[in-house]
Amino acid sequence: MLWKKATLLGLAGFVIGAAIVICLVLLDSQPLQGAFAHIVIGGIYGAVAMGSSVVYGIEKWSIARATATHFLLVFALYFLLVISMGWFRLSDPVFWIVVGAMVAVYILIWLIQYLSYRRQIREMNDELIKWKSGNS
Amino acid sequence: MKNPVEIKIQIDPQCHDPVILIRTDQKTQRVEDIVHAIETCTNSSYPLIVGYRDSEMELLSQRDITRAYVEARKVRICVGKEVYESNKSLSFLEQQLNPDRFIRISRFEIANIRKIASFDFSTTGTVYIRFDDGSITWAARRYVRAIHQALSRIEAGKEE
Repeated sequence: MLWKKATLLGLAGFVIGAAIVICLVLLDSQPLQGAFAHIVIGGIYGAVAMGSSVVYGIEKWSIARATATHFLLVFALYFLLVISMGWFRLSDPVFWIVVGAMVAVYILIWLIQYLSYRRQIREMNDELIKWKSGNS
Repeated sequence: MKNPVEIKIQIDPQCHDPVILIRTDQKTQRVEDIVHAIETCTNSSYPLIVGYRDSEMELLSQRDITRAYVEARKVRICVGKEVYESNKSLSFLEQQLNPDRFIRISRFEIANIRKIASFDFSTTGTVYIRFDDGSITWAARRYVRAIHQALSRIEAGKEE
């Protein structure tokens, strides 16, 4: 079930990732033929990013574990692709700006989910106390 | 017989289904027993649940069940500190259990919402449920909304 969902999301991610690269290539007025490898890589990146989002649906996993796992998968792929394709070097500040932005986005994702669930749990406890005190 | 329960029947043409009101100064074990007895004879659509312990079969009142869960591919039913085994699937049990009392809290577990003492949310983001008997389990986040709605329904109706 999880693998099926991951595959479907991965396929959608591949199309989205490839489409984004195609748009960027066209905006840069470059021929698409020469950008084939970049389009495929963009697709793979989208597939992994979206496909691996199923970790958020693993019931036993906490928000922190799911967020950290997704971040590590996406970051590892980003690191491999960027270095192997020669898009950036480690000394390039843009590489580290992107890493910083990724970390910030993932912390924000965790924080929003954490605060949202914490508020809901507080409300549930309040209702439980009201109900129990009304019946004691 | 000591302290016999006074029973009054009030005929009300507006009331098509019988309504039972228990007037008491405090909720004692005796009151609990009366509620249990009424429930047992009125909730015929929610049967007793068959549980096995030490290869002996017991019929479990739904009211007494704290939770039912899957562990090592077996369905277990908790009644206080006692753990029974069931030869039915969790989905089958879910169909037999009273939906006003039991709710799914994960793919592997159903809990008696009236036996929940509190909810806890850990820093890492796991939802824990503590029951009146002191036992603790976790709930899947995707069921939190449903649990919240069930609690709101009970609170609004001030049932039991």
